[in-house]
Amino acid sequence: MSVFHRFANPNRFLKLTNTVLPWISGLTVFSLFAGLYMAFFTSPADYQQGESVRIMYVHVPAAWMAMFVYSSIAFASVCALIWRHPLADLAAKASAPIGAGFTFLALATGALWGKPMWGAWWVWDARLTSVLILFFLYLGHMALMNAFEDQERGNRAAAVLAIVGFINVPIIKFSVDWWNTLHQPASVMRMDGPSIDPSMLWPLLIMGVAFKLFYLVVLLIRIKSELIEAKLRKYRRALVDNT
Amino acid sequence: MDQLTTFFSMGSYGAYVWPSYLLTAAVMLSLLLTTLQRLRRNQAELAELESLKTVDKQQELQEKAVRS
Repeated sequence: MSVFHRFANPNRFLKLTNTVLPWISGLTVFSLFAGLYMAFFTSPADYQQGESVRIMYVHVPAAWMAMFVYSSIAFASVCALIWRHPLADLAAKASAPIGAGFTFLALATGALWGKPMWGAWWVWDARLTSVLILFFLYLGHMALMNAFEDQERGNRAAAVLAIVGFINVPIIKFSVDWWNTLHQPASVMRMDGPSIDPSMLWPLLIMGVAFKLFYLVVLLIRIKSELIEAKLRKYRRALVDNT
Repeated sequence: MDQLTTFFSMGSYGAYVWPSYLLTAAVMLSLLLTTLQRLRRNQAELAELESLKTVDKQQELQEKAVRS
């Protein structure tokens, strides 16, 4: 926990952010281009799905991010409610739009993949429905944070929603095992190891890393921005008090 | 040329593959750009307020100097 406490200090956080941001940004661009190159040029077409399988390299990482970002928000919310970390609320607030964006991408690219493979843009099965619920949870979280005059109350309400809504994450993960579905079961994160060929697994994993790094870059910039906004509010209040 | 056409047709799945990638690029870029724009705006406003503060301080000091 002491590590968290160290970096929960906003000034130390800003200093660290400014040093690591250029490096993470460079890594993000590099892994994104490496992943895209492999997705289009080194990975083969699927023996059943043909070239449409290339949608996987954006669809699956986007879906991983949808769940990863939500889990991060739930974790930050726990830290915010229990330890009152000054940065935890900011991290949750800054994450929500990014997670919503990735969830939208998972749904949209899924529809674009579903149409040629299943013959339908959308089916109301457990996997698709639970991800749609995840999307609404993100929207609800964003709305709640800004719904109160008192930011503190908004933060707390949104944190409670994020924690309660976390029950949806394992439901999404295991929905393909628990219910009948058109969606294919897990082929990477399995107890017995990935069942997907390395020529497809590598570009998928690299794209996954690239998306995660992208999240980190945008998250850090957004938290930085939030910290400046807090300072601005303080200044404005001081100006009003002086006049 | 033929190779390019084959590449873009994506085995006749081009109408599904390319929109997927374009949409992903659009969403990620707009997330990044709106975030950067907000940071710039906040930084500019902060710089302005801080310059105001220093001007205020200078005035205060000058007034004090005049009075004494």
